[in-house]
Amino acid sequence: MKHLLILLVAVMSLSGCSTLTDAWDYYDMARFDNNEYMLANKVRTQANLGARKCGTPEVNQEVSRLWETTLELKNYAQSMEKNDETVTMTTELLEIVRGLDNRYNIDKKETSMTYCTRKFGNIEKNATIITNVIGKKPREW
Amino acid sequence: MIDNAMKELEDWVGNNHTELADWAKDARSLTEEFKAGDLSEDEYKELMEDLKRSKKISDAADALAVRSKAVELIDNIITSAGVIL
Repeated sequence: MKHLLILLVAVMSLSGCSTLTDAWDYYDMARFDNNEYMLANKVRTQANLGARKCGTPEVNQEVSRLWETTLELKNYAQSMEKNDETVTMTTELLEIVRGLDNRYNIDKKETSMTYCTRKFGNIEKNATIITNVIGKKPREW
Repeated sequence: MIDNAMKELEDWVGNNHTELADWAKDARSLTEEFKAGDLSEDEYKELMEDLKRSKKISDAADALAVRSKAVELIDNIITSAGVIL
């Protein structure tokens, strides 16, 4: 009972509101989606595999793949209504991957091994956070 | 009252991606690597910018985790009450 009261007060305050309409908007969120989850997991996996190619000529191809999948994830998340938090996460992740893609495939700059492993590691860590939290979205009725 | 309720819900849900990810620790080790000459200046700057973006991702993840839990609990309450919206 205590938890229920906490929940009701928290839901009202989380929506920044005090009206039922705002509380409804907070409740009315994008539910768990298989495709979204699959794409997030794919980004995580590609980042993990990409790190293994640091220092080899194949890394450019890995970066291209990662860029493409992350863009697909962001676009997919944006196409769903009431999906604000996921759009924020995937947009920020895409900007992180953009730096990697620019360096390897656009500017073709000299890149250190430390940068490469750090960058892939950071992307994998963020993709893991995103995958975990997307996986815990409430299911459809 | 509202602040307490929020804190209790967050504690109850038990998610804190920002703390778990420990971006501050990553920033310290990046600085050490830059000082050691393992990273160029522009690589270092980019990676530090990435940490700010990572913090935003963690914050959004925390918000989503709390919202998901709250919505799931409301779903359960509605189901238990046998109410169809």
